[in-house]
Formats: sequence, structure tokens, C-alpha cells
Amino acid sequence: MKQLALSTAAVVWWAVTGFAYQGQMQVAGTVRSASTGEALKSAVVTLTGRDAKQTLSRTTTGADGSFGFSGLTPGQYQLTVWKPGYQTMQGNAPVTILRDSTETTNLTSSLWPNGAIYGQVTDWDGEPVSEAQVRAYAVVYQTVGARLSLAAQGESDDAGEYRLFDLPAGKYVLQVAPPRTGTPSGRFYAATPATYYPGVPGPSQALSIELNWGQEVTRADVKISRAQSFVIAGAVWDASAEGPCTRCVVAVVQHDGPYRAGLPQTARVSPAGAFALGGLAPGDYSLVVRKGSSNGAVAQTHVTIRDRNVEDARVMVGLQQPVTGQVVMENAPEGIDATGWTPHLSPVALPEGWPRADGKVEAGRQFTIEGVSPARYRFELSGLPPGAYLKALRFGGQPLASHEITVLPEAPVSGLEAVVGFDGATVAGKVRSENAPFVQARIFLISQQSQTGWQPKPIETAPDGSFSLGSVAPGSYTVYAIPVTTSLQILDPAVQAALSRYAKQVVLSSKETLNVEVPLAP
Amino acid sequence: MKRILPTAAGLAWSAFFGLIPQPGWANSSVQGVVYESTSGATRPLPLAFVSVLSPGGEILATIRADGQGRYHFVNLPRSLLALTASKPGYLTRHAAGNAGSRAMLDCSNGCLQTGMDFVLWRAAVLAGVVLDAMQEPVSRAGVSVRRIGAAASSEKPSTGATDNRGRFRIAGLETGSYSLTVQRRAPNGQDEVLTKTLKVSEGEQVVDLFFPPGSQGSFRVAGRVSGIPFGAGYRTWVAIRALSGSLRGLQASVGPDGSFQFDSVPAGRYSADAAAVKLGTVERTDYFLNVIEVLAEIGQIALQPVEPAAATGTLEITAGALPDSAVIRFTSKDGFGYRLARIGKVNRKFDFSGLRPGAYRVEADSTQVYVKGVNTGGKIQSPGEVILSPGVNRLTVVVAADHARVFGVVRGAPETHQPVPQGRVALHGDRGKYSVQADQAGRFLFGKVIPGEYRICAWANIAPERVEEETSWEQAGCQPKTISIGPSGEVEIDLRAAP
Repeated sequence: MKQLALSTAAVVWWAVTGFAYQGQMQVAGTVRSASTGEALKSAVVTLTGRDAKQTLSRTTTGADGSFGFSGLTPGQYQLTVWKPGYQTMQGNAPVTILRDSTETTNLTSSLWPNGAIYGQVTDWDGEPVSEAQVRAYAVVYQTVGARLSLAAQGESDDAGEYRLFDLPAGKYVLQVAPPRTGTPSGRFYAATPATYYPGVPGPSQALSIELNWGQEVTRADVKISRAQSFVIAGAVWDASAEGPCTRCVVAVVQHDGPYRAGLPQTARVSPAGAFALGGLAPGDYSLVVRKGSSNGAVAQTHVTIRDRNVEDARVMVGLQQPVTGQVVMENAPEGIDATGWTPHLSPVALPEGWPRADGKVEAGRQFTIEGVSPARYRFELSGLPPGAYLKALRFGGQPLASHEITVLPEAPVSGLEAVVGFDGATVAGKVRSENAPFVQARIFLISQQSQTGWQPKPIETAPDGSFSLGSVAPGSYTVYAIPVTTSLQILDPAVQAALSRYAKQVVLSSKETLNVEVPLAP
Repeated sequence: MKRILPTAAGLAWSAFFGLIPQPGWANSSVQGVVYESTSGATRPLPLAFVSVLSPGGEILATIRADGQGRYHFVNLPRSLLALTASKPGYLTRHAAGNAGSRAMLDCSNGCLQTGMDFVLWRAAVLAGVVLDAMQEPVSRAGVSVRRIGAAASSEKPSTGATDNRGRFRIAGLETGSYSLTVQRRAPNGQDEVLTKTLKVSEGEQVVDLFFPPGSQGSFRVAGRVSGIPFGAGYRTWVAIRALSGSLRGLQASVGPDGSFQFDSVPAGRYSADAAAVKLGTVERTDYFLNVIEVLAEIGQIALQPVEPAAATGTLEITAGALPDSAVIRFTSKDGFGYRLARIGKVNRKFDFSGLRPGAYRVEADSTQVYVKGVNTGGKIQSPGEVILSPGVNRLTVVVAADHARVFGVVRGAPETHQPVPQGRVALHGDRGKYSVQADQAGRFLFGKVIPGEYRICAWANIAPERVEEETSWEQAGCQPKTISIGPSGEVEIDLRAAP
């Protein structure tokens, strides 16, 4: 979910508290901490034009957290507030300067503070480990399972102490990998596998750290142990060059239960095409091989380490395939033209950085997506007119679960059918909150009987709590409104059960617009 | 004690890292103790890392010494190797009895060595907090410290970054003078740089740093040039180069009315130059312009060309014979750079043109001669310095080849008067800084010393870096002796070594 990833979440609490004539300032206000209410100084407030591209004015808050802009012509502006250590606030609603330029808009903005995790890394002799590579992964729940998203990384210092900061509220798993090779410490710990807080070999056994907004967790100490580790060695072949892939770099991802965690070690492929990655505990891994720059071909393979080194791992890059198919329209209104729609293949459950493949729909509703590296993808279609939605993805006549397709090496995919329905319904309404001030919410629509396992994307409410989610496939859904500031993972079935009191059941018929009032979950 | 044992995992691991035990390696054993030296006392240092390196410096294997500092390597590769000990937070000063951090080992035919001891010193730590004008912490600022000193110029700077509380910590430092630089991206998007010189002594130092309140650190500099061609028919531009700091040069083109503008110039002193190219040709003329000082925004500065200086003349030698060729260097004391020329024995003429007027140091890049003085029309200006005015400056550079020799024996405690083997002797004066290691019999020799007044000191055991700064001699336990060295002199001196 976006609120836990590194992207700047739009966390807003607006209170347009009326107009007061404040000297010459036309837009004035105060920036406060959303958790403590104290005024924030040195926050940077930027005013941009309506399209938010050109910065018109920028100011910094004073010791009392106040800011002001003057000399503005009537019109609409966007406000952005930024301060290091806090979530950036980007105003959704434009600030309107009235025709009479003596009026003043008085605003209070609240920024949510980021948290930090501090601790020390020691080894089996109790000695501090310096230059250990420490990473904090945010636990992100998805439609199926959970994903670990890298939130911060750093190295421990000469006393073994590390500091990871700028972390939004959420649940974190801490990973400690040995120092980079090339130093005596790196050589000494080279055979030590990665450890997870407080000292376990896999992320599923790790103690997750729940961080609240602005919370600093200290003494998250990790003890690395002298566990057995092995080497994965093998070769990388470049099918397009018909030779060893000398520009390839091999990275490794650890699989443990529902989690996939990237490890810091990488190996460059030698001129003979060989590579070796050490310091790996027994378990399941994916080797991710990337050729050249980040847009180059990628390939992956699964490797399991049992009780000895793996010497024969083989990966082939350059086996990108085209994926072709056709758009099938069901009950399309007159004059719908599919040309210009964009099919996407987004990688599923793969480490970050795996490229998304985009294609286009040509005349005759044929689409082609070129250069797709073998992996599992979710198919999406963008550019659809209002009310239209991807109803199903069929291959060989059968609908694919969750709109996902696996692309195999040496097997071009053709004959995909993207079925587009045009009877999309709209769910609109307002979020009702017991507490008077609004907190911006996110609306989730969970399908009750999704045949394909696919869920609509959540949207955020406007500052006044209203929302409109269109182009939804007809069916029955449970609607939840979750404040953007909480770290609840609504896709977690346990969380859904706990919030059943705040759920709203709806049944959407074709092309219907349903108005609902949804209570705000705490 | 730890050994590299050929277990199955160890085999795989060592195969991976290229350290495959082979038949015949069994007869190699290297052991010793790792010590720590603190305020004069030496005691075993527990759990330090001891590493074996290839001659090229690549780490082949690392083991850990035990709780009494003892280590024992077996199964070493048959080749020339280097051995070193290390521990986070420490600096390695002595390896197997010699100053330095590595001991060389010849294991080409197997090796059996004991007593390969190491001595480590606790390194200094520099920690601090960086705050802005509102006393708010500055996070993710880049911190860099670089040691100041002749030998230190080849060392890489130590770096760190501030955390969310504005705090940074840089460990593993030698004592000495450092130049600290902190760089951050200010809220207005400009880069701000803060520099400070400080002394780092043993232990942990904390320093508080503040980004200047109000100042953005970088300023707009605008003005007009005159006295050089611009406008129709020409493409003209102004370039400014920092005289202090490490910022690269900036360029701005000159408009048809002679105006130019630099949007963001960090505070400091700059030399300005201009170049004009006649359109349609490859004719390009370069001009020196004024030196400018940027402390705040400059709205209207007038820049004019400065007539360049030339230094022409001959080389003369007063004592000794001129070598076949000598290299003479003119270095600007204002930071404009330097020029050098190779002057032959027969011709003896030099001609530097296109220099910025100002003060220059004249030196010989040679061990055979040194610059005794510069004669400008009858007056010898202070040894090796000259002020070049615009226009032609005729001068004679007077060199001499009458270096002196300084030699002697380093002795230990006054009671025994025994020579101290492999001590270090440092000789510092206005004309030069020299440092040499005595031999096994305590004898030292400075072969070519420029005559002058010097201070000399000797130590039984000290790392070369610690004697670079004369100010740290006393701290290192030595009271310098002053000696006068005359031309072509032979000075024999017995020195008492500081411990």
C-alpha cells in the first residue's frame, strides 16, 4: 500500500478556518506536527500554479510555524509543505485566491513525522560488527500474501551502531547482512548468512517492528550467529549474443514463507560467464540476473540450497518474448475505438526494479507487447473510457486468475484475449466520521465473489470526504473507508474481520451509480 | 586461538575465495600476538582481525585473534604474502617490530614464523551535530574530513552523513589537523557548503556546526565588462575560478551591452578571466580580469582586463655546478596556479609570459640545486619570492648547489648511551622538512639539506605520519634541538631518542 512505501503520501488535514484580514498576507497559515500539535519551524511551503509545475513562490516557516504569501493575483494555487523528517504534504484541493485580493485564506497544515530505528549489531563473541549492511523492509500486504518493500538502508559504524530513519508508520522487518568484501571485517564475516531482527535466519521468523508516526525505536539490536552458509555458483548465458553474458550482474532474493527479501550481495559475471554468490543459508532463493543497465533484459531462476553448495545454477537472458493478443469488446457502445489503449504487464511478486512491459493496441484491436522477459505478470489495460473496465483476461478460452499470465522462455504468447466490459458501475458517496474534523480516507472495494481474484484499485477521498469510484465491474462488494494515516492493512483478512462493524455491503448492477455513506474506520 | 581448518564448509568457502589448501601447505604456520598501546602502556588486544593479503593488497583470508590477542595461521598459500592486524576503531602502527601496518612474509617455500606481533592504537573519533539557523537538525548532510599535511595529500578523505537528529560520527582518524567540509541541499534547492579547520587529538571529539543563519551560501553575481571586445561580431564569455576550496569554474556569456550574470556562486574568492572569439574565425583572445570576493549578492560589478605579467631572465649559480638541466617553478601565492620551465645548463634563459600579476614563490623542482634568492635589478628579494608587476619583469634566479650533510647516531637512555636501531629522525626548518629512518646501528643520514636554521628530533619508535607537523613533536615526547646548517657543511650530531 502506498502509505507504507517510500513514495510521498498525500497526508492532509485541512481546516479552512474562515477569512481573517492579516495585514498583507493573502495566503497565510501555520504548519504543525500531526502527532504532537507543536508548531514546525523550517518547513518549506511552496505555492505553485494550478498545474503544479511551476513554483511561483516559496517560503520557510518561522519559529512559530507560521508562513505567509502576499502579492498573489486571483486564481487557483496548489500548496506543498515539506520538512525533512516528515511526510511531505501535497494539497489535493486548490487554494483559491478570491477576486478581491484583500481577502486572506488562512490554513493550518499538519505533517506526520517519520520514525527511526536504531540499534547495534554484535556477533557470536559479543563483538560489535562494523560496516554491516542493515536494511529496514516495510511489510506491505497485497491481494495475495505480503511483500517486503525496502524502506531504508545503512551501515553500522565502528561501534556496531546503525541508524535508519525517515520511516513512515508501519510494520518493519530488519535485515542485517555481513559487511561488503574487500575489508578484513568483510572477509571475516563473508560466510555469515543474512540475519533478521533479533537474530533469526528468515524474515518470516523475524520480530517485526511496529513503528508509529514519529516513533523512534532504539536498541533494536541484532545478534548475528555463526550459521552454516553455502555458495550458489553457475553461469549466465546470453541467448541474443549466443555467448556468455559478460555484462550481467546477478542478485539474489531470499524466499521465506510469504516473504521475498532482496539481499545486498551481487556478483558480476566473469568473462567466461561464471558467477558465485556466497553467504547464503539453506533455503529457497531466486537469482535475478540483469544485463547491462536497468532497462536491459532480465531473467530469473529458482534455486534451493539444501545442505551443500549449488554449483550448477544456469540462467539465460535475452529470451524476451512478444506477447500478442486481441481486445474483445462486450456490448460496446457505438464508435468505441480501442486504438490508443495501452496494455501493461506489471511484474507480480518480483523484486523491485523489475521493469514493467508496455505495448499498444493497433487498428483491428490487436495488441502487442514487445521484449517481455520470462516471469509472471499481471495484465492491465489503461486509457479506457469511463464505465469501461477489464472484465477478464482469457488464454485458450479460459479466464486467467487475477488477470495474471506467466511468460516462459522460448515461448511467445499469442492469442490472449482482453475482454473489456462497458457496463461499469460507479460507487460514489461520502465518508461519515464520528469525529468532527475530517481525516482524508482511502476507499477500498473488496469483491465478494471475484471469479478472477482481481480487486479494483482503491482511491482517496477529497478533503471533504466525498469520493467517486467509477468503471467498477458489477457484482457485490464490501466497502471500507480507512484513514490514510493509519497503517492498517485492509487486504489482510484478519483486519477485515476486525473492521466488519465499519464495512458497508453494496451490490452493483450494470451501469448503476450507487450513492453510499461509509463510516470511517478508526 | 583460531585456525583455518579444512572442514567441508571451509573447503567450499575457501574454494570460493581462492584459498584452496594444497598438498605441501601443511608446513606453514604463522603466529603472534596483537597488542594495544594506550598512554604508554602496551597490553594484549582481544579479538582483533588478522588478515593475510596477496602482494597486490587483496585480502585472502581473515581470522580472529583470541581473548589474549594470540593468533595462529596455518595453511597459507605458497607465495609472497603480507600480514596485517586490524580492529574497528583502531589504527595499526607496528607490524612485526617495524613501523607501519603490514608485515611481509615470504611463504614461497612454506613458512614457520612466530612473534609476528602487531601494535594497534585507538583511533580518534570526530562526532558532531549540524543545525540550521532555527536550531533544527540538518539531516542527510554530507560530511568529509581530509587531513592537512604533505603526506596526507594522497590520503582519501573520510566521509559520513548526518542522521535525522543532525548527528554524524567519523571514526578511524589519525591525530592531526583536518579540513572539515559539510554539504547540504538547502530548502531553496541550492547546495550549501560549510568548511572548518580543526585539530583532532586522541579520543572522541564533538563539534557543533551551524549553517549560517540567513545566508543561502550561494549568490547572484552580475555586472559588466569593459576594455575587451564583445557584442556584434564576437562571442565573449566570462569564467570565474575559485582561489580557495574545490569548486569547479563557472562560465557566463557576455551580452551585447557587456553585461553578464552568474546565478549561483558559492561564497569565496575567485579569479575572473574572459575570452573573446571573433565570429567566423578561430581567433580567440584571452584576458585576465579582476579578482572578485563573493560574500553576498553582487548586483553591479565592473570587470576590466588586467595586463598580464611576464618573468624573463637567466639562472645563475653561486656555489657548486649547474646540473645539465634544472626545473624552475613559479607558484602563485594567491592561488592562481603555477608555471614551470626546464632550464638548460648552457642556455640558462627562461621566459614565462601570460602570468597574473601578484606574488610568486620561486622554487627548484630538483634535489641538485635550490633557489637561494631572486635578483630583481640589484635587490635580492626574500629567499625565493618575487612580486610580478604587469608588463615585463626582468630577474635573475640565483640557485646554489651547496647542500649540506647532516648525520649522526640516535642513542637511547643517557645511562647506557646505546644506539637505538631503526629510530626516526625529523629535521624541520624554513627551507625544508626532512624525515629519515636510522639503520640497525642507529646511524642516520640526511644527504642533501638546504643550508639554514633547523630543529631536529629523534624517536625510538614512531610512525612517519606523526612527525610531519612540528607542533606534534612535543606531544610525541621530544624536545627539539636547534642547529644551524651552513652551505656545503657536514654536521655530525648525536641525538637522544624519545621513547
